[in-house]
Amino acid sequence: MRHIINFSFVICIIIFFGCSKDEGVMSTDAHDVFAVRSNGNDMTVKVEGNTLSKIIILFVHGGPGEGSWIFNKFSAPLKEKYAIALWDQSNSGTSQGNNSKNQTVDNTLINLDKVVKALQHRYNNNFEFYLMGHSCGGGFSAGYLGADNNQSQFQGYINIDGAHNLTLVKEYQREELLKRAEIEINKNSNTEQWKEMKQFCIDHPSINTIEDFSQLSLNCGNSTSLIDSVYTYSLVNSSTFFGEYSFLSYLTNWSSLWKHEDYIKEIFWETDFTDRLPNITIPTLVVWGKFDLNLSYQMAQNYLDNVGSVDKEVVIMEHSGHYPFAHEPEPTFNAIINFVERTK
Amino acid sequence: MTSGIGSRKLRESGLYTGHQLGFGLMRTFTPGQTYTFDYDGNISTVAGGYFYGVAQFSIELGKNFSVKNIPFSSYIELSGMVQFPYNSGVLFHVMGGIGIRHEIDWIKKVKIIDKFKKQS
Repeated sequence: MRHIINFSFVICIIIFFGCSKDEGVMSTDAHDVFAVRSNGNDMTVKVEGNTLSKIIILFVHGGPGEGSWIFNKFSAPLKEKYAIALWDQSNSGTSQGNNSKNQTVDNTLINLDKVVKALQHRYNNNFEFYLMGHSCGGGFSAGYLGADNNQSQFQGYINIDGAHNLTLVKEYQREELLKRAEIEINKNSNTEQWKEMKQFCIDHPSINTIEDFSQLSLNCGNSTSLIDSVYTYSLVNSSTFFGEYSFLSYLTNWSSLWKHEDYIKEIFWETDFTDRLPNITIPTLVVWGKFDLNLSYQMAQNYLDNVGSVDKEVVIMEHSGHYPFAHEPEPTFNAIINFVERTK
Repeated sequence: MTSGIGSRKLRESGLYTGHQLGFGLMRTFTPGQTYTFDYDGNISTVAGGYFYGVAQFSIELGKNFSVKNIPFSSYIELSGMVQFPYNSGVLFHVMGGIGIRHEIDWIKKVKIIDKFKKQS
């Protein structure tokens, strides 16, 4: 037997022989990718679907740090009608950088503005744009639309379980989880699990730390699947691990962003865009999961009471939790399509 | 681009196992155009991507045919790589490979030269 000590010097070079055009892709099944650089991060934007419709819906994901991959998994029906711009925010999804500083709510809104401008630059031939925000992405969207004259760039706004007043998320989650636990215990449904949820709420009369908030959010998310009326969905298939983009990147960014304590505290302890809602006058569609424990309908009602839009439409998804586009993709996207067709 | 050090355990049959640890530099690219904005909001394009540090560890199983005077070996390899700093953390990569390597056995070459010298 011989032992050999070896030294290696490896250069791995992947040379791209492609031309990247400074214009969008026009197709019924477009796959256009570009990036927007801001604050040391290159944020990926994927424009997919029917760009020949001349309508682009810009999706602002939640989390924070979730990335656009969950929505993208279910959005095929919407892509047949329109183009969807899937933006991975800074330190989220497939966005990359080696500088994690400057992660603030203001910078997130600045980044959103840059993405909008880049889309307008790339798709500048009589395109109409809609903004669609989910969860805390709904908060960022509302904050952006209600400032300056940003809403003039859009035909309408689609609010999917969006949190415009992020300071109330913790309180609403605890209230809703406690209320749902009582209902389910009285029905003798999954009693042991619901008693655990109820006890957590009793043990935490107020949520003061990121750790407790993370646990509460997790409890809300996991409990949704215990409700009989809620349709289930799966995020795991072959494309999850062998898809076009790195699943490990999604997971890494999502988990590490939540270690940015200053940013998380700023979002969920300090950010409230309620005062900007009266400034929003473009047509609004609100889509909400009936069994959304992460963000109860109280937030939607608060939005509807304060938003300045005259044209306000509400669609409740009867078998959905926090992700109506995953729980009930067909009725969710039908509601969006009807709204866009009515307002374009 | 990585540089590493490792070892292989070669058996008489030619089968070998090996492992290697390396460190280096990675340059990434972004797909399509990368847009940036100046202070006045003017848009322009830049070369996307960044430089990162990488650490790599690999294990290898192969067969060295030099024992039969064929200067090649074939192998399968499993590698793990860490890319850092990646946004707020590090990014793991898992890679697999199969290959054929040309073996330059200096010791054997010296022995062959000595043999010819003895003969001449």
